[in-house]
Amino acid sequence: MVEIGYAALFLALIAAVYSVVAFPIGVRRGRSALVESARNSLVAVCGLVSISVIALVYAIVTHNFQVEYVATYTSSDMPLNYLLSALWAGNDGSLLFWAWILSIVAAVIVLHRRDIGKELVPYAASVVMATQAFFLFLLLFVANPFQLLSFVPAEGRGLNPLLENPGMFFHPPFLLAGYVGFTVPFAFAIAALWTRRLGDEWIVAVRRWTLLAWLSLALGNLFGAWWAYVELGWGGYWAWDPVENASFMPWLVATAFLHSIMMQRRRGMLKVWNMVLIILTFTLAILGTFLTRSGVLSSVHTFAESPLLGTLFLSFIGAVLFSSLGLLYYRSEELRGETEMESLLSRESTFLLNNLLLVGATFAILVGTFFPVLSEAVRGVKISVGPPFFNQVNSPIFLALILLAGICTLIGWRRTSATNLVRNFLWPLVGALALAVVLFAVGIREWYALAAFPICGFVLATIFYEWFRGTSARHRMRAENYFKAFWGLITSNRPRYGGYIVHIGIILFAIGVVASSVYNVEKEASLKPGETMTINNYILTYEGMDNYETQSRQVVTATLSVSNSGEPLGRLAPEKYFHRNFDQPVTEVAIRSTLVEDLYVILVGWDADGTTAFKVLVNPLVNWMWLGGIVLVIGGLLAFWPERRKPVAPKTQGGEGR
Amino acid sequence: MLKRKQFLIGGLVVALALGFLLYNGFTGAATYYYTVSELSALGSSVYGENIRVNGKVAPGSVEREEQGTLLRFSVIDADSGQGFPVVYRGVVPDTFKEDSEVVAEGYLDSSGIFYASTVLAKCPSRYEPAE
Amino acid sequence: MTVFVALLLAALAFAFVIYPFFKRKPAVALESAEDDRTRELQSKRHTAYSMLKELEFDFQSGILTTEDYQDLETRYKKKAISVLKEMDSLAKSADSAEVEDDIEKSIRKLRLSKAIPALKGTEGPARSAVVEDEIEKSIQELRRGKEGKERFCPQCGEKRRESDRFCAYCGARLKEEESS
Repeated sequence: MVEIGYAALFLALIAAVYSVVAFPIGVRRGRSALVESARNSLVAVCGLVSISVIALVYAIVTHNFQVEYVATYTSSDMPLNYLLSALWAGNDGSLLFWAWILSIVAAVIVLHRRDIGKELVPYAASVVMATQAFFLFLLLFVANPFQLLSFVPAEGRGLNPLLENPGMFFHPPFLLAGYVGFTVPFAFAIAALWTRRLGDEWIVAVRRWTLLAWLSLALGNLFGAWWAYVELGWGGYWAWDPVENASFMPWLVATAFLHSIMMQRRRGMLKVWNMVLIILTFTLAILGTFLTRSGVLSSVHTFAESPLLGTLFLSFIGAVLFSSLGLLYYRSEELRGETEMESLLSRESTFLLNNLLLVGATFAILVGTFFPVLSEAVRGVKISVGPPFFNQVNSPIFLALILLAGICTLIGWRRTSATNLVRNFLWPLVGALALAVVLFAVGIREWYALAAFPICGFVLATIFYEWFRGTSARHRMRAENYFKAFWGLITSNRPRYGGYIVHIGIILFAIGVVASSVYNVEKEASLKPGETMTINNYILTYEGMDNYETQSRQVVTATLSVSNSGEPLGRLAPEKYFHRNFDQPVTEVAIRSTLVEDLYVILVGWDADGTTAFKVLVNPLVNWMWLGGIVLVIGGLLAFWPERRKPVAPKTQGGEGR
Repeated sequence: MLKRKQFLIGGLVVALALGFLLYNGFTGAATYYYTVSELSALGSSVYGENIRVNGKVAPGSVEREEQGTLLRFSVIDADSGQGFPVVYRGVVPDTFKEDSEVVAEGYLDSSGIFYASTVLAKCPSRYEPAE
Repeated sequence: MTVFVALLLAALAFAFVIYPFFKRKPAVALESAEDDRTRELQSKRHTAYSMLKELEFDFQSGILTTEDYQDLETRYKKKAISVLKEMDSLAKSADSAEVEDDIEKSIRKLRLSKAIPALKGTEGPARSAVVEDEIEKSIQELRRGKEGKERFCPQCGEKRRESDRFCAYCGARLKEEESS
């Protein structure tokens, strides 16, 4: 079975290379049989890689420890769900998983019937298959998941107990799927440049793909943040670790892209810019994969360092950037915008500024992430910048971005008159200022919170104001009741209203981030059983320690009873456990979570005399972040949902039978 | 053309603001990043400065006190075995263990002890075992 | 055994890939350059229409003032019309340049005479529909005038042009003998 997996990869590489070449030649020469054969070959790649994945899963499930990968990441006492997650637990497996998703995506592209951008598909498929071939090459010759050991170990090492968390099922696959997904818009962009079909087709063809990849990456990061929050040792929900940054950067640029393609669709401008953005997104996505594997930067997430893999990835990134930007330059004459900007006070300006800020933030993160490398190259010393740098630089940028989301809602395309501005923004502004006054009155003095909450309030107000006016306009025009009018409003323009809902999600998320970073309280205490500590209004009483053993681990539990302002809230039991196969403890925090705040208790350590050290945190509004995440996904799916086809689609002249 | 100018100026303002933020961030948050041997070689010239140091936890050097909230260990260069003691107060990451790679941020005092404010343990078995 | 399975896989994949060369009828139809232009124009038309729809909506929900709205709407109408004209000229032969001149003239006249009064009278979508209808109608009239007799689609009964090979409304194929 193992050898078959490897052989399937080998065949897949041949088929992929054939596809890369056959697609463009077939189309150029007008030989449809060749195109169809290339298409079959692509589908064959999908099938072969799937067989390879099945072979690896089979080896994992049957505990074939002669396979190095299986011996390294699994053990026979692991439950089935974690066994399956071992597919992406290691470097080689995650590359196979990557290739697999890419092959599925490619098959969907060529088999999906589309009206717009049909001519681009063969070229795009060729580009996707070129990427596929690169990954298959890596799998075959550098990072082979089917590598056999010269002996058969009796038992595998098993999964690091730190990874035993539901996050393991969701965080890596969504993240990887997000990275992979950006291959599609990139491929279509290259296809458009290649064929000189530089109109809107490729934009139309990739919008939903980009949205899906963007959503997947957002979900992957959200799961990662949640995982890092509930599992100590990853250091809070976001630590500006290089690998986290690597997944954040393509997401930011993709966000810019999703906004700026609207400008091209509506106004025929920013054509070159869109190309640049999607090329950057794809490159940054690959860079993310490279960073985790090369060991160039120190991070808590790194896979084993493999200089060869690093070099190959770097060359691939270089080749992608060089060739695609070169092609773009070659075609730049044909990518002139059709119209120009007309006024600073217009929706276009807000989009433009939004793009600048998103790319600016990405640039800042990129520079910060690579600063040790850059400074070493320039000055011979490694200088690193920590989370304070990223927070300091990015918080004003993100605040400005959120503010823009509010302005953009109520400003017209092309130009807006002053009276209009006053009319639209008066009430949201008044509301935001009132909120600021109230916040000040209740004792909030931190300038960032005083700026951030009213801005968030302002944006929410503009969105709801727009919905209200849209709904009442429909109510008037069509005599629908308000509920029906609102529903009709949302469904009449799903991309637009999905976008607004995403904005709401982001704002909820931002509120959670600001509150939990500005107003978190932490306290450390060493308690003997029976002693108490207080934090905010909470009183925690240490009841005692317990110790028990399970099949694979030894667990130490400390129990505390909690009350808030005299009202008993039950018990919390933070734990530490020691896994038999791993000589490191795993700290399980205990969290009491409400919409208002989280009480977060960490068991730090203990002495023989029973004195136990705790670290207790109160993190306000953390749940708003997860709530915001859910709203974001709902909005994203709404924007993604295909629009219903018109009942009578006027057929293109001579579209068939010619 | 007036419009064009407006947009150019607008773009310039944004770029300048970004540049300012970056510059400000760097001056505030830049820390030198050394390996153990580099830092040992620099010696007294960096006393008291905020630095990050990357090294290996010397086997057998780890001592925990006060219910595990006070940690003493030595970081050493993986090749030469030379290094210096580190003192850290706070919650120790789970991934921290002897013989693993750590990044400590803090300062070196004149007695040659490194007082760390944060310790990041780079866990080689996070995804992959050390080879 | 393993070798056998691997070879079988290889053979299957190979057969699947070369199969299209031995098939009679290709499933992949290749498009010609002429269709591209049409499709591009259709996409442009779609953009202009959706922009008009959005403007209308923004106006209704109060994001645009009447003045801004009128200005923008006129611009996009112009754009839509120029796309429509281009589509027409693509569909028709070159001798119709004269017709197009007339169309252009009458559109200009329409916009001056009918559009503005119409704005004052009616509200909202009704208004824009009026203007659009007028323009559409006059284009039809002009074209009919030059081309002669009216024709109808056998499928849906809508009017059609003589040169049409497909009905613009229902997409039905119009038989050659009927039009020539």
